[in-house]
Amino acid sequence: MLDTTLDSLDLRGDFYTRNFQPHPSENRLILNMGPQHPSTHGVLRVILEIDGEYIVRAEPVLGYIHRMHERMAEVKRYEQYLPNLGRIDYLHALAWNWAYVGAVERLMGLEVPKRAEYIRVITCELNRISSHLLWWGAYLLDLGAFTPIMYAFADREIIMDILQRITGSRLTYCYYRFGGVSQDIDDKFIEQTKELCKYLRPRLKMYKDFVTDNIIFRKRVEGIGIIETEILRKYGATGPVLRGSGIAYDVRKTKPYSVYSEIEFDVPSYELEDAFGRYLVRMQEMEESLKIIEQCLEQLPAGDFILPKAPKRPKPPAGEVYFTVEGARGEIGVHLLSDGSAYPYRLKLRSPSFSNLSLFPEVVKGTLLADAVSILGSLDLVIPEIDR
Amino acid sequence: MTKEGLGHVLEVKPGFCALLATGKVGYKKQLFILPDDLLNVVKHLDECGYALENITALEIEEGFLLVYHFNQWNNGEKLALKVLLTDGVKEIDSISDVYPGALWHERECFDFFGIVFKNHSNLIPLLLDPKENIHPLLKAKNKRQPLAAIMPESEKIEQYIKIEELGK
Repeated sequence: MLDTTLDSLDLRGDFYTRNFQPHPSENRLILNMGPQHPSTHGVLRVILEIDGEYIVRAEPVLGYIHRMHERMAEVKRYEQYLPNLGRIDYLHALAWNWAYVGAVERLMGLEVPKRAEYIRVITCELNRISSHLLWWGAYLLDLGAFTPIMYAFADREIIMDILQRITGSRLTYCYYRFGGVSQDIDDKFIEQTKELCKYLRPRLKMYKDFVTDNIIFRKRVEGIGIIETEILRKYGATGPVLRGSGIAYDVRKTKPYSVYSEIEFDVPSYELEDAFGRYLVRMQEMEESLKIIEQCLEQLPAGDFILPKAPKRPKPPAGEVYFTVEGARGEIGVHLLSDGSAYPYRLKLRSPSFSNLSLFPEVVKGTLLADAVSILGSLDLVIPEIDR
Repeated sequence: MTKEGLGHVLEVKPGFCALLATGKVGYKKQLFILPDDLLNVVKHLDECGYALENITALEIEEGFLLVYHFNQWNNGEKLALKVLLTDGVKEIDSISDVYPGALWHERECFDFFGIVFKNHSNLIPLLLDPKENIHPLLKAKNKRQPLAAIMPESEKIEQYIKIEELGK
């Protein structure tokens, strides 16, 4: 018979299960959800203590896709670090691009040309729609509806084609430069984007009819995963998770950067506090993004797409800067300290998913296991962004 | 009254915060406090309705600098708390009793720098391999910069204020 006290066989679990002490009870079971669970979308692992079908305690285990981006920043020159940003949050890569170049621009006092700002807004919003579309398809896949992800990917494909012509990549964009963007947009891009806006509106309407108003879907999200304001505040949640609980905090509106102050759009928020509230916020945000894109295309000024005298290899003066933008998952922050050399002294990446996931153990207590899947999906997590 | 140079942050008295000029940094307010006052200040910010946004650390010549970012939802005005750990001290109070969201941020700082947070309920590695005892963001001695070099002249002490008067 096997000696169960043997450490070498790892029969008592790994480091994290050993550090996760179950409550003394006979009927409790420790269950590992992930790191290869289909509903965790990447390599997230959650240790659950369950009593029957009910969750007593949950603890996410991170680090499976940790790449130490913050250390990489210290050994790379400012411009060499640009490609890293697209790989932190692969779904809304342009928002991370923006947070980083924006921080460096503020440190150096670079004035971005108006046209470049508009191009940034258009591409960033296109990217936001593609991110929300993927979340929408994947969330419904978690809940057991297979077809929506096919529709979502069909729509995403068009956005990716449009962005590919301009940025040169389909997913891990590296398009923004210090003082502007790498390439100007052309008439074909404008044409394609206008077409897309016309095409997407009826599609979103169709998604509402098929999915949002679907009773089977509603039963899985309504009243599930209630997050109160106090918890959101103490854990620093942002983005649709925050707005799904009725707090209309959006960096684009509350503290406008770039040209967002010149554009009319609403910040959708719902006081439902449940998974359905967060779902509705994202669905409506896609329509708001379309509104923003159309306005930007209309107002697009002529001029430079990048500051002509912007340095390609910047050496910002010594100092500190903290710049935040609104990503698809919430507030993305870049805290940069420079000592005046060509390498950042310290770069901290504040990722919204990190804070949003940290409240999961609090929310999931006492819910059914199947609801945990629904709650996890409603947080819209991107694991590479959490692990960095 | 403006005090020149960051050497004065060491002169902060217990119970007081040094309010620094913010310049272009992107904060509404930034405060230097003593490590012993951290919990008091954080409790006060909690009462004022601030949300915890981020906790980060960096190694400098004087020791470690911890930066706590707070945010207000109604106006998006950010507040940064800065705490300097000098003389080889690598310990500070955990603020997770007030803001449980700090649990993970503090574990991350423990991972990257080896800073120990007192009264943290579960201070185990968050992102790094628990078997390896490495702190990747520690700097070589000749690479460390003094505080004044990375937060230069623009950031002067504007005034000293009592912790209780912070919210005003």
